[in-house]
Amino acid sequence: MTRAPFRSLVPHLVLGLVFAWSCWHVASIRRVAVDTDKVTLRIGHWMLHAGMRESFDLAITDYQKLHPDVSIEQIPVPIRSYAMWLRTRLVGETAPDITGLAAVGEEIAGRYYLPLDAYASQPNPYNSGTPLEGVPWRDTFVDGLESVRNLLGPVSGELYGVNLQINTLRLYFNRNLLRAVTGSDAPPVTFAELRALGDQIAAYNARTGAKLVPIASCGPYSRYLFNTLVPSQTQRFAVESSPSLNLSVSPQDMATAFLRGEWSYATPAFRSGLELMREVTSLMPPGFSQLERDDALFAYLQQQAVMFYAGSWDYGVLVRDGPFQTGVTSLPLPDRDDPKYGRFVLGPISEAAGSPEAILGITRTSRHPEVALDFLRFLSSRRIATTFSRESHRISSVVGTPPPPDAPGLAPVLNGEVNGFGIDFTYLAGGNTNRAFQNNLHRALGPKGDLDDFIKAVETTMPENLRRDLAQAAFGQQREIRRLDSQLAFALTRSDPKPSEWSRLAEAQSIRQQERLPIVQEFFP
Amino acid sequence: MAQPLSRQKALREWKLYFFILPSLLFIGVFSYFPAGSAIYHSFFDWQGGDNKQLIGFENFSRALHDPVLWNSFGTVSVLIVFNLFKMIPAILMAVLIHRLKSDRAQYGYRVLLVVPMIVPGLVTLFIWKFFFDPNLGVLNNVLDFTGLKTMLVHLDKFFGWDVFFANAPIGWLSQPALILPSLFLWGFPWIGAVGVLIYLAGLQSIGQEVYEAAELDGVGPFQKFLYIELPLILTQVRLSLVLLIIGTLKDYGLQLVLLGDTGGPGGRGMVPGLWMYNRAFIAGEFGYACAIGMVLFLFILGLTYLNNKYVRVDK
Repeated sequence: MTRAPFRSLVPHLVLGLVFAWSCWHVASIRRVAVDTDKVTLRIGHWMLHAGMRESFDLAITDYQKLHPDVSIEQIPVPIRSYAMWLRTRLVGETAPDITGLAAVGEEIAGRYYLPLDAYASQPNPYNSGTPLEGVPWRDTFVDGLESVRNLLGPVSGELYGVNLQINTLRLYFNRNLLRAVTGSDAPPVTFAELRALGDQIAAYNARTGAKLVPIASCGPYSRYLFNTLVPSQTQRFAVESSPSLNLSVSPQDMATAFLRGEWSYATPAFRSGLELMREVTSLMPPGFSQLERDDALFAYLQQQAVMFYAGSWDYGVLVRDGPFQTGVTSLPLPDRDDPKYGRFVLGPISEAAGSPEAILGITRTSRHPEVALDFLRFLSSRRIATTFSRESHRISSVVGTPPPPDAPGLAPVLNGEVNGFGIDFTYLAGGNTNRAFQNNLHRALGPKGDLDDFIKAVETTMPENLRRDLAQAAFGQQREIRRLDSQLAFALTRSDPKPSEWSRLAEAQSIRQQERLPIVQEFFP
Repeated sequence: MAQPLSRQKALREWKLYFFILPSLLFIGVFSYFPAGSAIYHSFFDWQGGDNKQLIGFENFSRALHDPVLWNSFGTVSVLIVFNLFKMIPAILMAVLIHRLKSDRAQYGYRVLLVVPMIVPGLVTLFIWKFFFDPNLGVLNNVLDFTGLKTMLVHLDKFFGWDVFFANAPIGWLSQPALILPSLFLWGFPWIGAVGVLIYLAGLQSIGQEVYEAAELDGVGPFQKFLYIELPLILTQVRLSLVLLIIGTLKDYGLQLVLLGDTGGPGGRGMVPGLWMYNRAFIAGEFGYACAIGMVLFLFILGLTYLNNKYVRVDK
C-alpha cells in the first residue's frame, strides 16, 4: 500500500475506533432490572456541597435496610441550573417524588407540592426512643417550620416543605496566617478590630512582599457580607420607624416609604449602611464583583486570603480541602461604641429567625406520596439529623441535634436584638429596583467610588422601578388571593367543613387584601 | 436546471410525500411548536406554570418602553461592529493558507484550525473568564510582565478614562467601562475555524489561470487580494455576515458566563437574549420574555431582509 492511501486511511481508522468504543460503552451499560414490586422514590436537590450527597447516601442506605421494598435514587443537580431544571420538570410533570424547594414561590409551591399541615401535627414515628418521641412533627424543628411557612406560604399560611438544616453566615479564618500577621490566632471581635486587622495585613504585605487579602470574596458572597453588615445600621431605625409597628420593615414598607419621599438613601441610617459597605470593600480583593464562589474559595484555600466570609454550607469544603486549620467566628459588626457607626446600632443581632436550608417537599405528581412522606419524616428524625450534622458539618434544624463536633461556632446565636433590614430591595418582587441598585454599586464601591454619585444614579430611576416592582407584587398577591377563593370555596362546601381550615384561609385572604389594597389605592388608583 | 413540475404530475406521486412526513413532524414539534407557543404566551402574563392571564398587547407595550431592552440593542449593535472587525483575521488567515505552495502545509494548517473545535464552547468561555481574572488571570499578568500596564496607566491619566490604576489590578469584568472592551478582546486572535474554512473553500474555487494572468500583468500580492481574491469570495463573506448578525443578535451565552444574568456591573453587557433569559428564569416573567423574543425575532427578520435586499454580490 502506498503512503498516500495509507495516510488517508488514518482518519477513517480513528473514526472507526472511536465509534466502536462508544458502541461498546453504550452496550456495556448494565440495566438494573426493574423490580415491579419495589417502590422507587427519586429525590432531586441542588446540595452538592461537601458531605451532603454522602449524608443523603447514608440516610438512603439506612432507610432501604428498614424498608427493603423501597429503592431511593438521589438526583443531584448543580445549583446554577437547578431553578430551570426544577421548573421544567414540574411543568412537564416529570419531577422527582421529593425535590428541594429553591427559587420557588407560593404559586409554584401551591400548584405542584403537597401541603403538609395535616401531617405536621402528627408525631414523627422515627423519633421514638428519643426525647422527641410523641412530639408533633412541626415542633421537632427549632422554629416550628415557621420560616418555611413564611417563605413558601406567606399568603395561604400553608406548609409545603420541611427544612433539614439552618444556614448561618460566618467569618472563617486561617489560623496560621492570622498568627503570622498578628502573633495570635484570636479573630477580630469588633468592627474596629477588623478594620485594624486590615491595616496589619497591609503592613505585613509591605514587610514581607506577600500579597495577602484580608477577606476572600466574590460577587455573590459579597452580597451576603453586605446584607449582614448593613442591617446593623438599620437596626435602630427598624424598631423606631417600622410602618407596621412590628419592629421590622418589609420590602414593600420600604418601597412605599421611598415612593412617598419619606425615606431615601440620604436618610442617615441608609447612608451609613452604604458607607459601611464602601469601607469593607477595602478588605476584599480588587475586582471581587466579577468573581464567583469557586474563585473566592480557591483564593482562601491557596492561602492568598486570611479570612473568608461564607455560609455554614461551605465549612465542609474548608475542612476537607484546606491544608490548614480554619477557625469560625461571627462577622464583627459595629457595636454601640463605634465612633462612626455606633449611633445606629441597637446591639448584637439574634439569629433566631434563621435561614432555612435543604427545604424538601413532596411533588403532587409523586406516585407514592405516602412513602415520600415517610422518607421525609425519616430524614428529619433526630438520628438521621445527627448523621447529617456530622457528615456535612452543617447545623441541623431538628431540635436538640448537636452541632458539628469540630465547629460549634456554626450554630445560630439566639440571644440578641432584632435585626435591621437590607437596603438593596433584594426581596421586592419584580427585581427592577434591586437590579438598578446592583448595576450602580460600582459607583459607590469602585477605586474612585463616590456615594453621592451612586445615590443620584439610583434615585433617578428609582420611582419608576419601585412602581413596577410594587405593581408586580400587588398583582402577584391578587393572584394568590384569588387562588385562595377556590380553596375557600372547597373548604366551605365540603360535607364536613372544618372551621379551623376555612377560617384560617379566610383570615389569610383578608390580611393579604388589607396589605394590598392601600398600596393599590395610593399608587395605582 | 430542474424543470418546474406540473400540478397534475406532482399530485400523481402523492404517496411519495409520506416519506417526508416524519421529518416534517419532527420539525413541527421541535422547531415550530416552541416558536408558536412563544407567540401564544407573549400575550399572557405567565409565570411558567399553569396559571396565565390574557393581557393582550401589554407585554409588547412594556417592551416598547423598556429602557433595559433598548439599551441592550445598543450594546448588541456595538458587538456587531466588533464582530465585523473580527471577520478580517479569518479572511486573512484563509488567504495566507490558500497561498501556501505546499499542499501538505495547507493540510497541516487546516487540521490545526479544526482540532480546537472539539473543545466545547463552554470550556473556552470558562478559560477566557479565567484569563480576565484580575488577580490570577493571564491577561493581567502578561500586561504587567510586558510593561503594557504602565503604558495603559499613563494613557488613562492622559485621556481621563479612570479605569487603569497603577496600584490595582485591572478589573476587566468588574468595571463598566471595560465590559465592552473585554467582549471585544474575547476570542483573540479571532481566527474561527468555521469562517476560515468557508473562505478557503471560496478561494480554492478561483482558477489558477486568474493568478497567472495577474502575475503577467505585474499585480502585487496585496493587489491580488484586493482585486481578485476578495471580490471572488464575497458570496462567502455575505453568508458569514448574515450568520454573524443573526448569531450576535440572538446569542447571550458569552455574556451569561462572563458577566452573569444581570449583564455585569452597570448592566453594560446586557444583550437582548440575556434580558429575555433574565426575565424568564430570574424574574419568572415568562410571558414578557416571550414578547421580548418576538421583538428580537422581528429585528432579526428585518435585518436579514435588508441584508438580502441591499448587500448584493455582482458575479
